[in-house]
Amino acid sequence: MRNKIKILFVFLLTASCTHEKINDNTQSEWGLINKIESEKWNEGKIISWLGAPNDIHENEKQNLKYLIYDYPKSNHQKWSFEISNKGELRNITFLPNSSNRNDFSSEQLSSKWTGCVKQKSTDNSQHFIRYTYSLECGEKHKAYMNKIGEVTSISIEI
Amino acid sequence: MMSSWALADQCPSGQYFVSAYSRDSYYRQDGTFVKATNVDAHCRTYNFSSPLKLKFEDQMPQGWPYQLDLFKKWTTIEKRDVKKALDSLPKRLRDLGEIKIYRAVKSSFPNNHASSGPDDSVIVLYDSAKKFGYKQALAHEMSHVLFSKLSADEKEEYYSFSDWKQNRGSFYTKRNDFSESDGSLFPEEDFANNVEHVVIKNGSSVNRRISDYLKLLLGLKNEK
Repeated sequence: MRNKIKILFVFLLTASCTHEKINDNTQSEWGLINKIESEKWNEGKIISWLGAPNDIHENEKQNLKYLIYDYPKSNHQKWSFEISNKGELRNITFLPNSSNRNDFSSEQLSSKWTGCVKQKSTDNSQHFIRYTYSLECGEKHKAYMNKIGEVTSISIEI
Repeated sequence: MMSSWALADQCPSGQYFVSAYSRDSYYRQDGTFVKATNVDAHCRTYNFSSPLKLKFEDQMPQGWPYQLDLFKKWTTIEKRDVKKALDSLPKRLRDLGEIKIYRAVKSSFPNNHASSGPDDSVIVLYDSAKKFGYKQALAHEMSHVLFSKLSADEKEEYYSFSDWKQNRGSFYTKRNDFSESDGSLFPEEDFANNVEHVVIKNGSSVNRRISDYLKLLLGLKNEK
């Protein structure tokens, strides 16, 4: 009887850990985004967690730099972290892709962030009309979308 | 990357190359669990393709922002020449559904032969377009329409090949090789310039990596 209880306990423990790991995988992107935002990571913390960036872009005019991280297999851009000249994080830009786009729909964002409003702005400065579709959720959270409503990037002010 | 390019060259007509990626596990909306997996590079059917339906219009398009444009009627010969030019474009660049095409005298932008509202599938040809070449002008403007119809994943593929990055919704690139100088302003213009050059000049002024990718996207390598 004792052995059966032990086996049952080990089984329940394993199942619990597995379920938690599955949840971690499905929510890993949001988990990391929320963590970086709430803890206001700096440049050093970002690099120690994610490793060396795939690219660094210097914005000399504004004394900023962008740490660019790509998805490992496709080399498509995944992150841009805007860093001040003091090493402070100013903005997180995250780009969903095929692997996680379901977690970053406009409906998902509206449920996670408050006061979201869809916007459409027009740029006539070129010979072609350029529309920007966005979801504005207060001062600090914004999502950019394409014409058919897919979220192409999210932008979080720190 | 070498093996990916080998596959990219084999995508059949009507399909385009998609780079490999890792997919985390997730739950579908119906509750089905899908385990994490590595998705190999593969060919995928285009997100949008619909036979061309051309509508010749005479009045200013609704909401057209370039208010100084003077619109006029099409002549029969002009319509014929435009249809002929469109028929000579690659199928992928032509089959973009309904296109409303207008005729105006002169653009408010200097040395500009055509304008477009890509998201509304609107193209305007000015007087100078005939001398410039209808095929070249339409290759450029239809590219704008095509770009507007690409899915998020399809656009990301182009950004990756052409080295465009994003921050706060704005685009920038470290590239300094552009087929036309205004290509440095926006990825849409870079795309349209490059497609124009690939279609008209076989991509001789286009970064080789981008040119090869665009030929795949346009089905030019497989087109008979």
